[in-house]
Amino acid sequence: MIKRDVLVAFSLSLLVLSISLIIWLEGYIRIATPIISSLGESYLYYSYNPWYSNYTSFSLNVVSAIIWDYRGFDTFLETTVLMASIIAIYTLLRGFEEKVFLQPKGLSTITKTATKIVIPLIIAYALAIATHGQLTPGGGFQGGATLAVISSLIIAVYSLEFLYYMGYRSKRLVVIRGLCLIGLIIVAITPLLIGFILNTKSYIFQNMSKEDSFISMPSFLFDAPLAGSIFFYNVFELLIVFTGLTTALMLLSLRDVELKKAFEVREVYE
Amino acid sequence: MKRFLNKLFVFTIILVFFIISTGSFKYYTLVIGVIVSAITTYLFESSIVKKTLRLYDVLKLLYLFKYIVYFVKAEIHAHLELVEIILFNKPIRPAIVAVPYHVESDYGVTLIALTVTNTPGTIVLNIDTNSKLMYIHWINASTFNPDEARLVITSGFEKLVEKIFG
Repeated sequence: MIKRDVLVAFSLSLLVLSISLIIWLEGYIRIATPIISSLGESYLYYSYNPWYSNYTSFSLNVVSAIIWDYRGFDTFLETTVLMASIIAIYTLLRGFEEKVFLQPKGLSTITKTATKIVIPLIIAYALAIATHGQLTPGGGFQGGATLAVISSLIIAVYSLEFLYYMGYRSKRLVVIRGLCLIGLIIVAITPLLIGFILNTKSYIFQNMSKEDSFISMPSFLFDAPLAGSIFFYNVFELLIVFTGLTTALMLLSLRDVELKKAFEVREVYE
Repeated sequence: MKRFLNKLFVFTIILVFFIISTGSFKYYTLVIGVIVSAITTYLFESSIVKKTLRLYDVLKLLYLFKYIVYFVKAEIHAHLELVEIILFNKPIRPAIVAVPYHVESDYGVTLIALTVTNTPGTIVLNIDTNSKLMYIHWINASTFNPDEARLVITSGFEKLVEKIFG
């Protein structure tokens, strides 16, 4: 027993030592390759570059610029994939009912009180991540995942029943998610509609003005770069990811009574 | 507006947290922060602060400061005791003792329980809200009498917490 403890302690300290060695070496030796491909270089050069207004997206965060501007359509499809995966859980558990039948008990007073204080702060932090996605690292998906922590906390600390009391139903969440997806599409086709009305050329998923089309989303709000559609995409993505992950969490923590019908359906099929 | 001070209190805390977490002080951050904190305040104000605050309650912040000083002192003392046990192989007497508490509010109970858990050597295992008992695991139990144990472990914190949360 003692021998094993010593071995574990030794290997852990070796791990920490090797990691710190790598971090220390980074200051003296190049570990990653210094050569950036020309494509990557152009992204770094143009993502926030007011002097080339036809190429830039006014986003200080290069990752956001790539995700929502340079390859916006791809990210849109990724979002629908998330939706499809939740529909898959639905079909797997088809026939479940959400029942309110227990008085929610949950964990002790201490945990409940601590959670109560933390929840508004998590909301503020998640929205800070999402709305500042074009300025600092972060974005809609990260913000939504942070916001979904609330649902998992409530399920763990207050019980699933409490979510029902707050008005959460998986069907409502699906509706909200669908609406947000429609909102994403509306933002994507807004430049197209404006171009149609003004009778000029414009593109779907267009953000800033291009060489042959002068239509542009707002690039600044007050004194900070808004990066046009990236901001709106991030806000919608936040809600989509939050509702999606919350639905998944709720479906995975369904009780036996609620799944009764689902099991019956399965038995009939078998 | 009803319970204006409560709303202002919660709103300010969330707004300050928002600004700190974004790390910027631009108009953009401020405007979005105000919107976000207004919504969260509207949603959670009634559940976070149950009783109505008055302007007089600002003085309680002084007690909070006093509490922090007392807590740091207790922490250092408990650490020294534990160091003694580890280094000099002092004999220990681990036990779970039931300690009564007389604080009414949820926040008071939580603050006491978390402080006791945070000081090394004592851990709150469970709370019985009906009989108002805390079950505390104590590494060096000098007494099993609930009231004497209360004097040693929690009474110092409790006096200050009662002044803060009532």
